[in-house]
Amino acid sequence: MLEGDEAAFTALYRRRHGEIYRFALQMSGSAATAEDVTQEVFLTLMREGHKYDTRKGTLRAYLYGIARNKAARAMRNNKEDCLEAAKDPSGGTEGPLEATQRNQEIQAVWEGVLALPPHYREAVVLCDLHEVSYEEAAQALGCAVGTVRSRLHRGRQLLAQKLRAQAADDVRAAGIRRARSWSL
Amino acid sequence: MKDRDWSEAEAGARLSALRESMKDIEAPARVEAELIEAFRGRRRQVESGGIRWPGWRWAGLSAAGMVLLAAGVGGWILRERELDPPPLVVHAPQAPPEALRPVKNRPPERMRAGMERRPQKAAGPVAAPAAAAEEVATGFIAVTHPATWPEEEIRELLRVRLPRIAAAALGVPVNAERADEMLWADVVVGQDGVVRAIRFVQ
Repeated sequence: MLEGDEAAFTALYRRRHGEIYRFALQMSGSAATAEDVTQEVFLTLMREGHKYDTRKGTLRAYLYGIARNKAARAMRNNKEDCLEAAKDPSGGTEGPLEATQRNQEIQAVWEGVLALPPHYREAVVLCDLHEVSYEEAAQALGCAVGTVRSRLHRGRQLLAQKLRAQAADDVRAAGIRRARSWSL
Repeated sequence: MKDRDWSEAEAGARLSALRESMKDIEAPARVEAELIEAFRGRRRQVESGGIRWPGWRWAGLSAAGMVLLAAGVGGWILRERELDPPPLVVHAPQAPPEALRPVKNRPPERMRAGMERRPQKAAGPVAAPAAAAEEVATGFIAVTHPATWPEEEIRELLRVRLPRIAAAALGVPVNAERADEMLWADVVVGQDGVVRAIRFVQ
């Protein structure tokens, strides 16, 4: 690919672009940001692919690492857009949840993931949503395997707390609805 | 604890559901088309010589860096050679006090009178050149109290370069703007290698 083989580049893109796009989408909550990040990741690979060292990790982890940096930068630059998308993930004609089997539970989980602090979010997204091994996640995030484990554990805890709180709110809201209907 | 574990397990199950629901999401086809176009454009640039392979670029930068480093080191060595110490002239009023002069093997009184008319020779590696230039020096400043000096010892007078800030440390007024510059100093060193006194020369 680095020697100008277009077929190799196309094959690599088709094999890897889905997970890179989803990673960026799950990190940013914005389809537009995910699109930009995907494009930038493969442009970077085109320009700086020689920097990839097979001894330091897999190509997949290398691409996730680039995507992580690009997504973080995009989120800093377009904070409002990303937050807006996080509030309403289905908003827009190509909302990510609209393309999936949308239901309230999944939406709640996704909102919970987007609300996690970035360090925990990237661990949860990589390990739980992309089923990346701890070693690959550590290579992508540039940290130790133990750090990935602890961030993942903490991220899951925070997510569980959010879901628990949300479930309690739902129960309260349902009770209020029942009470109102009874009084009527 | 059990409730928390259950919640985390439940969160894990919901994350699995989210993963399944998003597994078919991909980037729009236009991204691939734009990237392939960019790839072709880059290949054309490489073929026309507009882009060099990165290895050559780094090799060129490394070579330039080595040349600059060599030039810098060479210049520094030449500059150091040019910085020979100024000629040492000891003026009578600024001569070391009696306590600083060697007390062992002191010549007879009549010879001493003659010696004081002749310029002293510098000891150690800094030899006094024949052509002496005018210079201004402070008086000798005792670094340790003279009462603590051994009664009989041979002391050496060395000319050294010191940062100006060293003069300030000994109470000599120093221009703060030139504090990092170097100046010459005559140092009286005892047999034990400890500095007895110092004066600054300009």
